Amino acid sequence: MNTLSLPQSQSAGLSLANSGAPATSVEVRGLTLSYAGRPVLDQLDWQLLPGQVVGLLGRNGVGKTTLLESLLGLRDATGGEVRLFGSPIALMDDAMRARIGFVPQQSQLFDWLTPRQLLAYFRSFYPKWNAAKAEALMARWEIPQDQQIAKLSGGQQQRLSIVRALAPEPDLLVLDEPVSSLDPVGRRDFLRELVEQVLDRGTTVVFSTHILSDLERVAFNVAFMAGGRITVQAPLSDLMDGCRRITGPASRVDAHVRASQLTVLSRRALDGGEVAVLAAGEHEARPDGLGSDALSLEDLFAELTL
Amino acid sequence: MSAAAFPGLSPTRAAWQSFATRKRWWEWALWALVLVGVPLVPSAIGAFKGEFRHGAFVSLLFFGAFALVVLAGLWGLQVTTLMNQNHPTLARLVPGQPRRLRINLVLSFLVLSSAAGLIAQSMLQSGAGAILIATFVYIAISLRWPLAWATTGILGFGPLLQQRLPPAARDLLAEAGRALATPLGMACLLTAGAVFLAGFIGDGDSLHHARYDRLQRRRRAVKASMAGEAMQSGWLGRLLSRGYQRDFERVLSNAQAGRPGFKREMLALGPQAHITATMQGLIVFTGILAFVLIVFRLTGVFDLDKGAGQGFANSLFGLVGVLIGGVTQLRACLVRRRHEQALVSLLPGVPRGRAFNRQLALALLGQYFALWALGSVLTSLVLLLFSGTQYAVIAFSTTLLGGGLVLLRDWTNGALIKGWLAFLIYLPLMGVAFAARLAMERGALSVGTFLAAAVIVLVPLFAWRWHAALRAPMAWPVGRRG
Repeated sequence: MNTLSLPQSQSAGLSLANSGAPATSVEVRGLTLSYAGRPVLDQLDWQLLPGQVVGLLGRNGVGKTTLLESLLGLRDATGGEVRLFGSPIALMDDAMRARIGFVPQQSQLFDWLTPRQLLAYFRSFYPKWNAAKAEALMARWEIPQDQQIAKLSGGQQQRLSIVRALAPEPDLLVLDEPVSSLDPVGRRDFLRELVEQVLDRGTTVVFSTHILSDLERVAFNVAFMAGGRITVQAPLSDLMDGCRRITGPASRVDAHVRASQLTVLSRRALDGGEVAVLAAGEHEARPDGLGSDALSLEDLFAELTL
Repeated sequence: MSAAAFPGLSPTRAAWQSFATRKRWWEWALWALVLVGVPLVPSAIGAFKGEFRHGAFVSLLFFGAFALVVLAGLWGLQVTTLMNQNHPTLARLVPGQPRRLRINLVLSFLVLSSAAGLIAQSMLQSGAGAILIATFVYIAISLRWPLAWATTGILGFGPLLQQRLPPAARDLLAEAGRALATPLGMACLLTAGAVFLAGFIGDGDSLHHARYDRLQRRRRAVKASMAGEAMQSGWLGRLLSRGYQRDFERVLSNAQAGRPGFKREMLALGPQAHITATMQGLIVFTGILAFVLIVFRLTGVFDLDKGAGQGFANSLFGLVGVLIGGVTQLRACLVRRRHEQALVSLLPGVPRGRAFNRQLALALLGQYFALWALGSVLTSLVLLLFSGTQYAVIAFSTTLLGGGLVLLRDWTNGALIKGWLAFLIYLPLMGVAFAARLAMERGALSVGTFLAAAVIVLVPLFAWRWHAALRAPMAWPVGRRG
């Protein structure tokens, strides 16, 4: 598959909030990582600009969590380089740590404490702590303050994890399936908070999810991961407007793609010598004798993560 | 809620907060009553008998001993909570967290172990302070690497092995002990302990991740060994699951012919709950025990000191307690495998209600008494072969007695017992074991009498609670209370 480079119009506007920041929040070059000889990340390159909101998509087991953890130096890559805010991840100091918020897939809360005690605990480590925001979120999300965390529901624990990650006002927020335990109302509320965070502070946000409707609601950019690499990253609106599935006899589809100067993102063979090609670019309304379908995000996911 | 709702909470305070969150006021009151009330009893008795001076002295000894226990307990709590806070992800991403945890660990070690050392030094002989400081380091090690085997091995076999050392090595050890008992020696010990403990806190690197995962697995294994799921992996797991596999294949091959539904329900509990696993586990552990005894007999360790054999038998008490937890697995699996069991219980042919409960109660009883009978025979054989180890049978019988009481309680409530209640059951049993040992030493109690007494206590109790087992909710514990 090819990597699609489309203008990142949405994020460009948002990055103005961080005009003094380095050119990239996250820069990954040639990242390689294997589990027991099985490559999970394969020469992966990736860039996140300040103020960008990126939804990371990929099939189960493709390595999304590994990638997000590698970004933060939680996993040792066998090759490649990760730089956060312009500095190598290996040289992470306390100042850099204070700029990062992370919500892992599995809760890492101290379940013997109460939420109030937990937030007090983490507050003591961070130079910045937006107590008003933490309080407002705790109240709005109805998290009991004085009940032992172990006794909270899975959704409440996940919300508490999010509050903990947001309260230090990070410049980079990494969320690994942050809404998997939340009900629809909770998810909507969380996404609203995420958007406010980006608009107010220009925070760079990257989050993985399988709930595509959420992604459509909030992600300005989407990145598809397959085969250990980011195969496509583009603003969601550009992808939805600019991508079509063209079906028909292989020779005629290829000729049409060449003539229209389209970028082929995926290709698969159909019965009877026909092919289905996912192509991006300026499409004709109705290519002669070929099928041309606009795609939903779910269709795009299916095509791009094969 | 005010903006000051989240004041800073240091890692040290987090330990106390966690303690305060879990404990009720009456638990604190009970502890305070025990810690203050018990030491005052000798003084009260002394005053009553007109020998207050002696009573006060004994009270002082009690207070000193309790203070040491409390300090060690505080240290254990402190290490546990600090290690729990040292999650690799947090260590990597939360600014300054590992540094503060490290400072907390070292400072609390210096303060608590120095206090314990000074108390021991003033109350006991001159080397006691150094021993206490070393004990604090040992507590931290055993909490980080919770190996019951190593703990039992070091405490049980250490003194025996020391006697096998050549005289020159023993002299060297004694000399080192004297050097450590001096103020300079204790300062060196404190410094070495502090440096060693500082290395306990990881910085979130890959080594820390690996260590943390290993520690979590071991913690789960230790918990599982108490609940009976420790032996499902490795060569021992494969060995113990052979009987289950045979049974499983037999049931599958006869599925159409309609095997008894209860059998399927029991198979859903997994290999470690199978009766053959229990029996084989006991045989393996008794084999290990016999092997160790033979090695010690051949090396003449028991001949060196009369007390050596008894010390060894004492250490078995703790070991057997751990092992029994590992081999009586059916009860734990009933609760832990509820999902699998619930699936099977929906199949046609599986008994319902009282019919199911009756078979379940019989299976529990059968496994329990089979274990007791086989264990009694095996330990009796061991003690026939080796004099000086007869107290092992007390340990075995007493832990089984406790197991029986726990089983009774679970029957009644349809759920696994809480840890603190199990502790309350086993605590007086340890007193019974101690009294039985004294009686055996004086020839007032034989092994057979002790076993018979245990049976006489348990059988009526089981009969009394039988109706509770039958009246349990449908397909206990799938529909259990609580």
